[in-house]
Amino acid sequence: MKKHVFVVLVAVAIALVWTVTSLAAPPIKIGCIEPLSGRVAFAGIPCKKTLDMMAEELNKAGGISGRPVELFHYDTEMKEDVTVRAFNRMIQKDEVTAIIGPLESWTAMAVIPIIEKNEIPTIMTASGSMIVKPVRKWVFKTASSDELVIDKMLSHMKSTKVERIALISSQDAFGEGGRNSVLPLVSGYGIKIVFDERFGGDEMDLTPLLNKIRKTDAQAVIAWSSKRTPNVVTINYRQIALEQPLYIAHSALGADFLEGAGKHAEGVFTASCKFAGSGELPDSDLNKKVIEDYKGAFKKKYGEETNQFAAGAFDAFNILTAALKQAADNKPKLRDAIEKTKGYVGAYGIFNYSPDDHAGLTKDAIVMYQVIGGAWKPVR
Amino acid sequence: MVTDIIQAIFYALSVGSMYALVALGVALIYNATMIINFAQGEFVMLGGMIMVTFYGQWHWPLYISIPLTIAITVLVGIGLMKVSYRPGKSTSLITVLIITIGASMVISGSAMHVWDTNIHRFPPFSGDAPIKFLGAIIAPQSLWIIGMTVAVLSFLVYFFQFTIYGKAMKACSLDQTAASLLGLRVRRMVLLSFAMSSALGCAAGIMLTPLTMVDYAGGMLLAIKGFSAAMLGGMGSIVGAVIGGFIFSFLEGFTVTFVSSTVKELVTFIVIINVLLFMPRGIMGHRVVEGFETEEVFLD
Repeated sequence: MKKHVFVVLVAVAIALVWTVTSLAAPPIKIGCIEPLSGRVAFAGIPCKKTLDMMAEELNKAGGISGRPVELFHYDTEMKEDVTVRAFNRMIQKDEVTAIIGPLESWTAMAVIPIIEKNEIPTIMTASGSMIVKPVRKWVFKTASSDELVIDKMLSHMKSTKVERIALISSQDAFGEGGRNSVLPLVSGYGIKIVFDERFGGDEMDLTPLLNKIRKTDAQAVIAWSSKRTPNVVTINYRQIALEQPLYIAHSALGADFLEGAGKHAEGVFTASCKFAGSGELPDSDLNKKVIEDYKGAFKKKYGEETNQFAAGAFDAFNILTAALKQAADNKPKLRDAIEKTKGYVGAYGIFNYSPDDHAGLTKDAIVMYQVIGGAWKPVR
Repeated sequence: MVTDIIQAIFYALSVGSMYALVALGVALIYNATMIINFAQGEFVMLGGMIMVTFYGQWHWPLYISIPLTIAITVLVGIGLMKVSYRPGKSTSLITVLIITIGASMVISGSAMHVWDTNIHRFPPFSGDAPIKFLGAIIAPQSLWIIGMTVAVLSFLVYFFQFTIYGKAMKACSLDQTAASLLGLRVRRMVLLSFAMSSALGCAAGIMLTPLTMVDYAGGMLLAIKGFSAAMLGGMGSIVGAVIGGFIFSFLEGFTVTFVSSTVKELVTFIVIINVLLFMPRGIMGHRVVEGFETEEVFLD
């Protein structure tokens, strides 16, 4: 008899716990995927920390209409196949409402078919413009497109009377994306490409390739690649004493490029978002306060500096949660709400999504940078 | 045109030396143990990374930081020998191969945690000012690398041809049982080969880093290039390893200069596959391989 009482008590207890927990509002699940290991981890880990920080703040403030958000973090390992598996897992097992990430253009391209098939609103933090060109129904992105960056570089070249350029790019999704953005834009600025060659993304010595540029009459060089090759290009460029201004991809905008390339980096140009040089922006700049506040909050919580890659996650989270407040976890409604985002002042610039534009930024969000005195400084 | 050729030659000499130094390390261990060491590239990475800390960040003088860097790497090399070389226990060659690949991942993974994922470099020993030679431009550091390859090659040839240790090491690779019956301490020889090979890899890393930079993941890529060079030259042959490295780099340099960097790997590997098709043991390879018929063994 005693045994029976015990069983009944346990059953009652379980039932009670179950009802109590199910009465609490169910969380809204958000999948987050960034490179947390490998060469890009320096960019991915701050993204994860940023998202954790913001989710914590949001939940403390009451969440989304009383429902907390719950994040599911995954590592891309910088590999397409790993990213595809993680996406399938987030969609099927975790049943997330929306996804933020990934950061790398090549893993981003690999998962677009899955996103479109499963109709899951996704805000990517990668820069490649091919992600949103052509526009995919369910895919949005934050970080400044390489197209805008190149546009800014070309207008900077035009203002310094450059008419002929050499273009070298890596043979991967990032390099191809950059090259494909340069080619249609140059004619608008009256610039001619006199040299155009691609190289392997793991190259350790590019002297022979750069030597061929010497024989052209190019007045400036664009080197579009990521990972370690921006450093290799820069060092080899100085070693063989090429004199033309060097424009490298925005992937190099960071302290590790400055450390790797050392004094060879002096004078190198790139263009990117306002984030890195926010301290030097005029106070009238709308984005300045957002960026400085975010930088301060991150530093306060983790005791270290964040970077512009994580700023993409910052913007993605804000855009997504604003849309979630209107649409909750109804995915088609959520997608429409994201697409209607207008005038969001973020860390990257001012976002205006529309049915034809899932990148949201304009050239105004981009600033030219140059290495001066061993640091990236915004220049005109 | 002349300038182009000279430039391509200098590129090939410096990059080829880099491949050759890795290939030499692979050949050295193979010579003593028949083990193909895929972790050879990690020694290069370790050499570069430790040197970045000692010399680049802490600014210790060269005469302290170089020996210390080599000593640490040699310890890692000896550790690798302890896990991969087990006489008596019937581990097949393929198992050992997988152990070395695993070791390579362990070393690079640990390096990621000890240091970070960034790319590092320290200033070259003799400055950055390029040297001009008949219109071609040469980085001073590549002269260091070429010089070191020549020195290492001459030392190893001398070592294997004329010293008792070198001959003993060779004997161990031919037949370990017979060698130990003759009173050779096989285990000591194997230890020596791992130590020499890791010191060599480490020295290569120290020389290369100012030119090519280093990060925790660079070892595997180098190991693959070095291994291909060693295969091409003939596995186990010291001179062959260097020849293999230079064929590799000359093909790359001339393809980039006169065709396009887009097809670099394509041209290189087409040539290498063809060489290995017609000369399966590589250019300088031994004609002796375990399991071959006795007549063939005596031919050599």
